[in-house]
Amino acid sequence: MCTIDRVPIEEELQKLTTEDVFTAEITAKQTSEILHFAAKHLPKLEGIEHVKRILQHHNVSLEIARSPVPVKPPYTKEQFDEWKLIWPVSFRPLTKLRIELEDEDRRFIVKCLEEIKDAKMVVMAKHSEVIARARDGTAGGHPLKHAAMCCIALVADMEVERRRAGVLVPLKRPASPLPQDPEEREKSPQAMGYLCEGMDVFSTKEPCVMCCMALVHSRIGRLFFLEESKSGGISYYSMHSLKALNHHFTAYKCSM
Amino acid sequence: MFTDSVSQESQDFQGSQECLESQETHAQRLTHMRQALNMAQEALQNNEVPVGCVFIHHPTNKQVSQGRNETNLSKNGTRHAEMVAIDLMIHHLKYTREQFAETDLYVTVEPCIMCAAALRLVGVGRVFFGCGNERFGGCGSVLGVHQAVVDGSEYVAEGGFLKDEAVLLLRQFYIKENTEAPQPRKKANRVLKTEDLNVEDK
Repeated sequence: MCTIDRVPIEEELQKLTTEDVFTAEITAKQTSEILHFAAKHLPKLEGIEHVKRILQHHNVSLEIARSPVPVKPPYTKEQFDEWKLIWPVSFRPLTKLRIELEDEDRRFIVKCLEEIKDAKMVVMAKHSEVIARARDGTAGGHPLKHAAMCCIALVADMEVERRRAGVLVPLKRPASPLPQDPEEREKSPQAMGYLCEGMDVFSTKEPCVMCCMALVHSRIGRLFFLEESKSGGISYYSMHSLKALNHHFTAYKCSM
Repeated sequence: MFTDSVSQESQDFQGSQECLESQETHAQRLTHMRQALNMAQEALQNNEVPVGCVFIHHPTNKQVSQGRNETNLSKNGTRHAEMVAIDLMIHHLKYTREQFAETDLYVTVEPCIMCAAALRLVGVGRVFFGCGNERFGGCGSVLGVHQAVVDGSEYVAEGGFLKDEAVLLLRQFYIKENTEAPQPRKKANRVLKTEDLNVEDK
């Protein structure tokens, strides 16, 4: 039995925050006329586009007031259900967050998790093919030789070697399908990469803060880990989805 | 965000006995930072993001290691100046945790989140940096890893040392086209801006 659960991004964990906006009570009959006027003449609700113009209720007093509205748009159903009680908001779940793993992909992920589950190690894969494996190397006296750091270094060394061999030209991403034959594929210019861009990373333990930032710097695509860690980069800082950073990846907490 | 404690310090104590001492420390810090800037300069000459650092053994005031960015050369996005310098200390000097605790880092740019965490793991003494790092900084700009409750030990980090020199080097680099980037940008029309910086020989 294997579970693969996506770790929520920073926004999905956001608690409700509100700010006050000016509101005025109107009668229901005026609604369409006033909405029309607002669309044409009033400034846009900049930064709070998710906030709806109208809140329906029954005691009309015709007063201008200040009312709190949610500052951030809701990212989850739970946030939506709670926040809409404060003031009506629209809810458009991000398509990038509605990821369903395809069967073939899932089989590959499970296979990789099987491999790492009993060893403290990190495996990196590209296009559903494992390209590097590394174990924790801190026992040798180097406190920074975590498995993820070692694995990133391996991928880098391979890249240096391939460029030295002179067969490859830098390419942003595959322009055409990869050749079927493994040997041909290895040599094809499409296989070439910028750092670890788009790679899948499988880690026995949740990577620490150093390793998570190393994965951000290396531009990985997805991270799968088995053992959660309170002081890990994902649990402690949501480092897969920090808005301040220039790269994000999808993180999955898995169990076997 | 970063107190310019350097100039502040020397002004506040002028004329007193304390002043001589703190000015001496201040002068020493600037000397160390100039060494770090030399490393950054070397990075720039090698088409690397110009960040450089030195590690200073505090009790003896001796430089024990140095490093500069080598991410483009190694095709490894984690080969930052600090990581390179730490590797030298561990491999060649067999540096121990106790020795790291007596050793300070001088780095031209605020350590990124990865390096800030690595410095906790090795147990560095103190960290002095030049300019802040709004994109990746791990000692206050993006995250405050140096004072967080994560693996390793806390340390003091202080910025502002020769920061304009550090910024100037970065600008000199980013005005060039980074052909290693996934989508290199054309920058032929860019002009190097220096008016807002307080540096010698602009």
